[in-house]
Parts: sequence; C-alpha cells; structure tokens
Amino acid sequence: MGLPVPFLKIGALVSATALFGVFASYRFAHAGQWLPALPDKVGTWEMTEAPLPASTLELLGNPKATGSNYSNPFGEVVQASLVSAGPFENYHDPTVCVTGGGFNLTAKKTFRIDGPGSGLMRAMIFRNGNFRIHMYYWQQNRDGSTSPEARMGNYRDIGSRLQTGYGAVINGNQTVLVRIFTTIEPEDPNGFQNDPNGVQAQKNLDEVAKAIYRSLRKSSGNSPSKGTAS
Amino acid sequence: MRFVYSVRSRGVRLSLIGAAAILAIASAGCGEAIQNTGEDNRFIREPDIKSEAAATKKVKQGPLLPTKNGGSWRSKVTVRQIRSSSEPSIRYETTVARGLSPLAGGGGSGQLLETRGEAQKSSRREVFKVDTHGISLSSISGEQSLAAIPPFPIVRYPIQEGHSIRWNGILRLADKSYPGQGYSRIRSPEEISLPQGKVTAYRVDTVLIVNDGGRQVSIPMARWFAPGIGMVRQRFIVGNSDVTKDTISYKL
Repeated sequence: MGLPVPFLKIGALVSATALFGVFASYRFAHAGQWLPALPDKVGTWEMTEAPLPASTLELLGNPKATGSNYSNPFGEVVQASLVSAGPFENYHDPTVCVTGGGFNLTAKKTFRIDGPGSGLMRAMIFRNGNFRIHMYYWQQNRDGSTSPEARMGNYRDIGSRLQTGYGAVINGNQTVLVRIFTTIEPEDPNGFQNDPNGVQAQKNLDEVAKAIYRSLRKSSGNSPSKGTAS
Repeated sequence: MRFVYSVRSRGVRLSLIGAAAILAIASAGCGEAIQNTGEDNRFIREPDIKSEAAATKKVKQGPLLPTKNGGSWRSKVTVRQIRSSSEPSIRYETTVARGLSPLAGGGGSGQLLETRGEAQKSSRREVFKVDTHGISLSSISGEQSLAAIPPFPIVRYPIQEGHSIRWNGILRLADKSYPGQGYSRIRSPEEISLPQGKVTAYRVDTVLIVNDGGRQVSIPMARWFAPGIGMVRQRFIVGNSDVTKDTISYKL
C-alpha cells in the first residue's frame, strides 16, 4: 500500500526545496570565489597593500577580500577594497557600517563610474564633526555589469536582494563589492592641502575608481593577475 | 473530493499571483530608491566633462605670469611654525619683475622675479621660463637655493583643470646635484580676494622629489595664478615653517 498522493506531493515539494537550497548554497559559494587583483599603479598613484582587519572580515562572514592604499606624489591617499560577494552576510552596506562608527550619512548620489554606458555606482558623504569621508560603492559582476543598491536585508532592499539571488543562483554571477574612499580635508584654511569643497578629493576618487572599474572589467580570467592602469 | 481539490487549486493560484505581485513590486524598487539628496550634496559632483570645460572657459584668460619689466606685487607673508601653537609671524615683501636672467643649465633665458622683504637686505630670486607653451620653474635662490635642469614645467597652455605634468631631471640644491622628479597639476579655479576686488585664480600644486642615495625628500609648493595678474598667493614649506604669501597690491 503506497502513500497517499498529497503526502507524495508534499514529499516531492520538500525534496525539491531541499535540493534547491543545496544548489542555491553552492551557487552563492561560487559567487564569492572571484577576487581579482587591484591595479598596482594608477597613473601617478602607487599602490600599497592594506589588508582588511580581521575583525572586519569576521563581521562580513570571512569572505575573500583585498585592500589597498593608493598614494600620489602630493601626499594624498585613496583607499580601496574588494570583497567577494557570496552569501548575503558579505553584503554589509557602508550606510550601515560606516554610520555605526560615529559618522552620519550626509549625502548620497548615484551616477555612472566611467561616462555614458558605464556601470552605476553610489557616491556618499559621511560626516563626523567637520571630518568627512567621500566614498564610492558598487557591486561589480564578472560580466562587467554593476549595481549601486544596498543589500543589507531590510525591507527596502528586498528588490535588490531578489535580483542578486537570481543573478547568483540562476545566472551563476560572480560578484565583488567595491569600496573606494578618501577623506576631505577639513575646512581649515591653514591646511596645506586645504580642500574645503572636496573638489580635489573627488577628482582623486574618480581617477582611482575609473581605473579599478576598467581593471575589473578586464579581469575575466580565473587567476588574479596584477595590472597597471592609468 | 473534486470540490476540495478545486478550492486548493484556486488557493495555489491565488498564492502564486500574490507572490508574483510582491516580486513585481519588490523588483520595481519597493521602498526607498537611491535618492540624490543630503545636506552635503555640494561635495558630490556628478561627472560632466562639458561643464568642467565650461568652468575653465569662464575664468578670464590671459598670461598667468605677466612678464612686463617693472611689474610689481606686494605681499603679506604669514609664517606658521609647523606643529606649534605659537602665533604666526607676519611680514611684508615686494616682488619685482626684473627682466631676463640666464636659465639654470643654459638653454636661454627666463623671467626673473626678485622678492625683497621690507626690513631685509637679502632677497629671493625666482627664474621662470615663460613662453607660449607655458611656465617652467628654472631656479630659486636666496635662503634656499634650487635649480631644475631642464626647467620644470609647472603650467602648460591651454590651461586645463586637472591637467598634470610629470618631470624628470636634475635638481641642484646648494652646490650638490641629485636626480629628481617633479609633479605639477592644475586644480579647480578658486576665488581670491584682493584689495582691487575678487579674482579667479588657478591653484597649481607642485612637488619636487629629490632622490638622495635612496632617501627621498619632497618639496611641496602651491601657487595661485590669476590670469593677467600673476601669482596672487603662494604656499610653501621652508624647514619647519609653513609660509603663505598673499598679494595685497600689484602694479603692472
């Protein structure tokens, strides 16, 4: 005597869900396996490696990650990091993480990284007193496409999360999270690199961001390779 | 039994339609979309090459360093001790265009600017090669002596915001020569207040890097050039002092 049909159906549904779960986990793990190298030179900017602190990596679920500082001859520094985006716990959004460190998000804009036809990114200003951080953030897929939206898991991000889930599980996308940031010198007329409106800070960010975006588009191979971009 | 099955089927259909509706709303951007907002919005400029070119064109054009002999610039010099809370000292200087002077390392002559303090006998002499291609720094003499061979181009015409120059050559400090690099870039135009009114000036950042047997020493300078007027502000480091020179009057 066989099992009743409804039980068979439920059993099939549960099995299919379990199989899909295993498959989805595998695909999310696969999504987090791509970590291209950052360019070791961008025009006059020289790169020095600056690995992300262990505490930060732990918070992100210990993904693959790389961090670098770019310095120019004028003594200015732009910091960059790449975090492989596998499971959603890797997707800590700067609007949540940075604001937890005493900073407030005081401006946010979305625009193209490298002119018409290029990917979208999010530019943000975080302020603590008169100290400001200017940050660019985007997710870049291995196929070159980008996305600037948050995927932290609150109700506002559900659309982006669904897109990411679909991309990772169904399309097999591999993704890195790109953060590039610099400080805006305080409005101190006595500072040698005084940059009260942050114009130079953003030019610096633009230069490094464009080079990293292009470098990631070129990094379609499986093995990370060091490159030079200008 | 048939009735129960049809109700369940309709329930499944309704559930599917409901899920599809949620998906459609979510993927269309339910909740807060990324907005271009914020009290610090002025710090984020959307890239617009056309508007940047237009901003450069808006600045009154003219030679950045007028070479007419006898032209003079009176400056207020503020000297701050780095990492010190002591009050800055203030003095006044006058710089005069003295005609042509041989370039360090030969190869022609350049515009000599001689600066003399009101209470000082010593003077600072700067020689710039000025032509239709731009402005190059050849030498500085006075308290500090420096020569760049060949002259270090700090501005190239036409003036273009963001344009940068890299230079490799020999730097002569006092009577010793070192291999050196120089970098120069034009920053965005800034408004500078002069007694004659506000002028728009290009800030030109330069840094000379002296390679002394593996040890690198950087010499940073910033100059603000107002077209048709000349250097209206300078900033440089001398030893432990951060020096700012602001033009308070000029005669061309």
